[in-house]
Amino acid sequence: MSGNTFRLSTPLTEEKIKKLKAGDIIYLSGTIFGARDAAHKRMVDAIRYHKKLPLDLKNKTVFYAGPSPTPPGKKSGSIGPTTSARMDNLTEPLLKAGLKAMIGKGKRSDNIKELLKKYKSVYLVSVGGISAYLSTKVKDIKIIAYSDLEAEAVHEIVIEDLPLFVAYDIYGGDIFESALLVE
Amino acid sequence: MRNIKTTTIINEAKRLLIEASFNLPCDVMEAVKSAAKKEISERAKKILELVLENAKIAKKQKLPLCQDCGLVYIDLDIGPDICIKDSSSLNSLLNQAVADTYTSNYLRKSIVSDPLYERKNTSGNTPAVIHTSFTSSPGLHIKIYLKGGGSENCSYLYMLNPSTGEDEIIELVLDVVKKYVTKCCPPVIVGIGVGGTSSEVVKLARTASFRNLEIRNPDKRYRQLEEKILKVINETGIGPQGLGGKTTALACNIEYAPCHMASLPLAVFMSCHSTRRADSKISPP
Repeated sequence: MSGNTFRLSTPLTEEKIKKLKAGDIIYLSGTIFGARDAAHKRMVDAIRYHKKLPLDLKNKTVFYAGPSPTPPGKKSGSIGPTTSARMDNLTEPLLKAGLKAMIGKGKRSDNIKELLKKYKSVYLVSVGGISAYLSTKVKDIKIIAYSDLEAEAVHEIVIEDLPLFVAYDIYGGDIFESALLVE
Repeated sequence: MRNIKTTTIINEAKRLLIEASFNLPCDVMEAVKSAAKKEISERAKKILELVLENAKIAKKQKLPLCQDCGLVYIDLDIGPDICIKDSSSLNSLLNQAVADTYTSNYLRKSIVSDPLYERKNTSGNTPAVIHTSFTSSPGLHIKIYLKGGGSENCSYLYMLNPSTGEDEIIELVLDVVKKYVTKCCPPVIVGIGVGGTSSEVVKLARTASFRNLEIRNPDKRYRQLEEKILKVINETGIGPQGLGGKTTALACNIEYAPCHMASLPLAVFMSCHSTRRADSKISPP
């Protein structure tokens, strides 16, 4: 059941993603981008109406996260994944624009697995509800776009060894299905 | 009759909001510890250990247990000996207390104003959902619950035929768990409401999901039903975070009430492993 363990840095390119299988553990370092419901809606609208995106999505990793505010003297507030399935209907335009990895929590619709095969992208899960612990993996965090959305703004997040599991790989592998077969 | 000033209630509410945000309740902590010991899967064990590690860090560093600092429920149970001075301003003062506490403690504000059109953040995590009720128990009981959006989205209401039996109810709850539980941060606490009305049964389920895990149902039949449902949920193997294991739920709690002879309302209300609650009783001198 336990997969391989990888220490990886961003950008997560197709070459790196090809090696990953559902069930693998990743310790990810580098820069990722926090964006959830409201930011997704705006980015999808921007793509649809040929407006400028707040970031070039090519080879980027998006973290479905809306962190708590950073207290003085700390590098980050609490941070963790929100439910990924809410982003399912807003995912394909971002994949088309080059998005390579998504970090969230929970099962997604089956359609997402097909899209990940098509666009050679990967869905990673982080453990939900351990956000004080995960904040210790954040080296820097700042809002880079849509600041009026407050917690739902787009955040640039510098991480070191953020622990993740590969949930859906580019071959159709699914950690939630394989987990059920074990017990 | 004893007078309680609104300022006393407000100060206590602020203290409870902070306690709930940074401290995992002892009974939840114990349930996670005991589940971690029983897990065979290394992955499940590790996740449960991280939940405990997170609770330590949150408490020590005064960081929220979860970045989703929740929607605030405030229940006030008012005893027969209590008179609240200036009660007309109580709700607005409680909301102000929520906004002040969330701002000064760097808690995430997650409430948007209009649900359908603007969805603009209210910038104070308000309004809170405030319920007041009169009880026979003396004193003023303040209960604070912080509810995350992920688990809130897994609430379900069924209006069943009165002929529905226990087995069908077990199947319905199991179906909700199988379909949706990975979205609400398992291991969860499954709150179930049975009876009442369509609007009341959801409140019963909410009360059940926030009930202290050491308190079991006083009615033997419902207590046994809680045990049966918990057993089948944990036999699914869905496990912590849906990544496999024996601990999909920490508990199943049921609350019930009389209902119309034509009805059998059933509600499921999930709480995540980061179930945050704090309460205290003010007894005036």
